[in-house]
Amino acid sequence: MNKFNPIAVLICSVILLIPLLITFDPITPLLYIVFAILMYSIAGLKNPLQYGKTVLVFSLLALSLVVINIIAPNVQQKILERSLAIYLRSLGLIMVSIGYFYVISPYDVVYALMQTAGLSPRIGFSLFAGWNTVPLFIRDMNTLKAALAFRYGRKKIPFRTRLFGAIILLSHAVRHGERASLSMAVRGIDSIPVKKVGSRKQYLRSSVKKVYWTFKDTILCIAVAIGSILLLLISIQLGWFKFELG
Amino acid sequence: MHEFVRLQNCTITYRTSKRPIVSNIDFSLKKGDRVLIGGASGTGKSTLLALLAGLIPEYIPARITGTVSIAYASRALVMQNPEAQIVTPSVFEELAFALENKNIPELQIVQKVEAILKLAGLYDKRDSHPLSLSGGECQRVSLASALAQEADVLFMDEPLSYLDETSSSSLVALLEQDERYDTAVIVEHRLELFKDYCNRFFKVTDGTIEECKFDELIKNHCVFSAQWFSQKDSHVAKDDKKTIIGEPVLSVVNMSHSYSKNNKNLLFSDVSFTVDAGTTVVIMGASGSGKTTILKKIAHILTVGINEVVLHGKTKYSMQYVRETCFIVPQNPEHMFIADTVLNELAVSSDKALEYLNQFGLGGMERRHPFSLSEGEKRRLNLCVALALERKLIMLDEPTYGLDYESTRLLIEYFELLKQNGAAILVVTHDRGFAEAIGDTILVLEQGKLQTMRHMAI
Repeated sequence: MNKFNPIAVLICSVILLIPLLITFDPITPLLYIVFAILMYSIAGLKNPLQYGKTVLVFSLLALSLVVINIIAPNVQQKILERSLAIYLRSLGLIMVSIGYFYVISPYDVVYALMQTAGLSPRIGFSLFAGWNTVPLFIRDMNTLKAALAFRYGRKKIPFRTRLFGAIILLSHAVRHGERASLSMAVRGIDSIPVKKVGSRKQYLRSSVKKVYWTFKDTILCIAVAIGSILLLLISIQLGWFKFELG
Repeated sequence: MHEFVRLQNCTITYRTSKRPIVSNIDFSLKKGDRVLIGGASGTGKSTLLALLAGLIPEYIPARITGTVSIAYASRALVMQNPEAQIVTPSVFEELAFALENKNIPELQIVQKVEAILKLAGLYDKRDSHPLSLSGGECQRVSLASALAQEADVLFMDEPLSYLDETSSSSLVALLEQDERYDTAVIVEHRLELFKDYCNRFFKVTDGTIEECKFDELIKNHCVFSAQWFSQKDSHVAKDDKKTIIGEPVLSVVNMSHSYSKNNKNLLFSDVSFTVDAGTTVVIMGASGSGKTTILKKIAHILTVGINEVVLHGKTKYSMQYVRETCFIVPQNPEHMFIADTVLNELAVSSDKALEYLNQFGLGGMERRHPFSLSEGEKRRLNLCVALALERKLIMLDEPTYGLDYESTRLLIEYFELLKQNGAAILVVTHDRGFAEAIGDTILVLEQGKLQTMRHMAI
């Protein structure tokens, strides 16, 4: 269960991404990285160790940008300082983007969209079913891999068989989708009462799982917005901030 | 009495086929009717159920002729393949899903769902993701979800197929005791379990339906037993070849497993047994007890501890050796098919392949696509492939799932053929009758420990 509405956390993430996109010095991104970690910790960061590992993997992308900047610099002056700025900005963008997925369950994002943004339950629960197909698809893939290994032993698996295997996997995925759709239909997903509010449809569906927008979500958004502006002001005031797009 | 469904001279034809799947059906369902439908696989039982449940033609495209009148206000449906029907991320939400769609107040939903969770023995799993559960547990979620709806009519398509004996009996007892589930239509192969609950019985034969007495329905569906098996005429070509018990092919020594990262909460521990050439060992146990996990460990699909699995007396061997020694037939036999014709599946010379196909009752099907075979034929083709590949250890996971009586009977007979060829067979099943009919040794996995129920006399 998330502490905050996923949409509120998304707004906060976007608030943190904007200054990172416009800053081009080594200190401001560091401030925002610390602020983002603080924000995500409050919002309920799950599995920080795994988060760190994922960031580490993706930080290779930031490193590659540094290498490109050293090999073929856009501006010939202060190459090292610019490289560090590029690295920290990219790392900040990566940390904020990936952090969202370590705070929010994908199911809760959809719940929030249904309960807060009026997303149709038919579409919302289809996304659920689609997400559920992923582990079933992985299971089918592993079973097929094992089947091929046991069928062929030491022999090389022919390309035609591999291709046929891929088709089988796809047919299984389609079947999973069909069954999930039927399962939703027989449980009344298409007969949810609807109320017209102006030109908008309001689905009259109760929910045991509440992912509504609450007062604390508003407070979180305001606090992050104020914090972000303050950090930017401090950075400008102290002469750290350097503006550059891209 | 209020009539919920009436079918008059009803014929259903799928768009992909010219031949009707069911034809000239006359049927009525009234409040209080608890209907049990039996018949061989592929005769149109599930299609009939889908029609009664109002899924045809709205959700399953098909042509209908005749009159169909449906008058119930609500219905709940349990379909086959419970895992593919999961929508929400927790057992609790899965049970609440249909009630939420009806816009029932949350407090009432919580009360209803909690009550059903307790009745279905799923309360401790309420926050688990349904896809993290075993097949049997997942089927219980699907059943509980249907029961929670308290619908006018309960439609169930093979609701017990993944369930062990105890879970099946407790589900049927639950239906019997609760007046809310007084109208139901059930399609099932394990007919005897619904004998007391149901009050009307129907036999489906080649797309036609006929009301009959329970005794008539069960006539060809008797419970398997070793004595029964020995009394029956065999379909397998008998020869003078006798099964000779050979050397141990597989020895499992003090095997244990935990799905948690820190090896806490052991699923089972100290599991030890041996499978000799020419013998069948059956492992029984409740859903989620770890039966399939044992097979996966033997096949090295899951990590195995040092010296836990001994193959042909060897404790050190390569993965290639495992793959050349073992053959695993998963619960869904389609997962083993890799070719577009039955003949190509065998991957041996045509003459030899035809010989094997004839032995396994698949003669004349060599050009057919493996997916187009019946469930029983698919499993027999898997066994045939194992024989063609000359594998010494054949492992089968719930081989009776989705099989009708006749297919199961044939499967039992063809096991003998494998044994005569010196194969060691390891089967996991929750079907006690089937286990008794095939098992030289029967082991029961209970509360993480393996106990011997029967051991062959040598």
